[in-house]
Amino acid sequence: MIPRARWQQIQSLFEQLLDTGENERAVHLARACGDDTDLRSSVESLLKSDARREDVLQHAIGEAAESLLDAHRDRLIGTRVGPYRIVSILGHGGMSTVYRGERDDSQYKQTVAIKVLQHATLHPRLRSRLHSERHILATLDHPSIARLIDSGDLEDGTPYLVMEHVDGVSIDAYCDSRTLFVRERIELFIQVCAAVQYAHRNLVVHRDIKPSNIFVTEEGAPKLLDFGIAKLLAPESLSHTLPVTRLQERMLTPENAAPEQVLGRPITTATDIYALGVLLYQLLTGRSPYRLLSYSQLQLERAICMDDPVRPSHMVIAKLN
Amino acid sequence: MQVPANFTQLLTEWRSGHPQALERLTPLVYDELRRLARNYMRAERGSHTLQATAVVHEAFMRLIQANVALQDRGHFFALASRLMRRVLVDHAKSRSRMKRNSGVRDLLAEETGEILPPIDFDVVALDDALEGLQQMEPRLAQVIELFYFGGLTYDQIAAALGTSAATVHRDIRLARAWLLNEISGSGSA
Repeated sequence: MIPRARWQQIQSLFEQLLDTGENERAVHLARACGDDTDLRSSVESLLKSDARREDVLQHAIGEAAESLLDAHRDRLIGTRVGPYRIVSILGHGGMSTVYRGERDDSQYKQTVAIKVLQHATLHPRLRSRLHSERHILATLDHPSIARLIDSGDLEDGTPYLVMEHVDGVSIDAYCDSRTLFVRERIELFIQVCAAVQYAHRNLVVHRDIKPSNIFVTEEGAPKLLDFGIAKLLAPESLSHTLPVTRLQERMLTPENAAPEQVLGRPITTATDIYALGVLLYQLLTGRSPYRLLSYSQLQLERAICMDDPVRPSHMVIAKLN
Repeated sequence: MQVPANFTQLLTEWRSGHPQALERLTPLVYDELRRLARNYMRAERGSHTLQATAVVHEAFMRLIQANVALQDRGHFFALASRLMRRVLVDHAKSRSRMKRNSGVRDLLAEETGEILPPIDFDVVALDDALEGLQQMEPRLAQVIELFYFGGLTYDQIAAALGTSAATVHRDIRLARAWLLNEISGSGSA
């Protein structure tokens, strides 16, 4: 503990020298401290710490705050959602967290994916829409579409969706890890098309068809995930209330987007067909047909709506060379 | 949002020496943080620690604004920032000292062009150092709490403490420098 008088000396000198230049500071310090090297080094070391550019205090507090908020994010683990117990986190999206849920009672043993939405809680209108949409999605029954099993609200009102848990890998990883031939890739792709056709007949558009939304099981069966979920998360019907520039609200994955998604125009079944074309291109060439340099609106419009993609055959040859 | 009407009541009880009030206060802070954490989760990009801190500060403001008469603001600001410090530090301790503060790069003092060694510390070390500062100069510790844990501006702190924003700014610089020296072990002051 520093004696009171000494502390006041240090404090007063520190404050006088706070905003002085280097030379002035040295002169002043020498004059004020004289032979008192202790005083001088005390003030000098304080001034040195004051000169640090980054706020390390804020950083330490921020880390604690972040850890505390993350703990809240994990708070559902171990809790029950309907008949399911949440056991781990499968993944995070910008607007949702997907948990692995398990049902383990006398009747069933079942693993599910539970998607807990955050975004929906912010839009009252979206919430009410969610309920009717969930109903429609639950009627989709196709071997290549991951089923929506159940839905509801957590105790605090956060909506969740319980979906079939698919044990597999994304379709592009599956094709590449097994170095499938073109014919095998196309056979998989045709199965995906059949699932999309089934959904379209039931008036459901996927809106976010991309490799990471199509899993292939160990047995080689493709499963489309998140059918229609994109609509719940990024509804165009609300887009007129959102600034046009908020691109992420409208479109989840620019690499697979159709032109109408970039331009903010109505989404139809044609949007999925377009995305299927992009998917096929990716499966055959290993690349997106778009050359995106950035996610700026201008860049996206140019790459997706104007530029002609390199022909797949040329792309493959270019890659071989 | 409904802030429980007894929040300020509990704060006062806690301060006047009823530790059991803290047990009832902490869940209120957690509830508020959880509510706000949803917004935080939407913004996945950018500076995480800054966002997280902003959430804490927002929770602070929302909790304190309920049912506090203007003339009592300063008093309750002080109590609530102390509470926020308690919550963060207890959380960090419960995680058996969080991963070390490795995110801070070597810092360059522009004035001298000198490379300063990185300072490695977490909120628990900061809490200890603040205790020391509290012993020596309670006003400085108070200003640090209000600024860093409560997220108040210089003007708000000045109004709460009945001083000027310029004085607050000077106090923060002195206190911060002292704390950094103390934590990094170079404190000869």
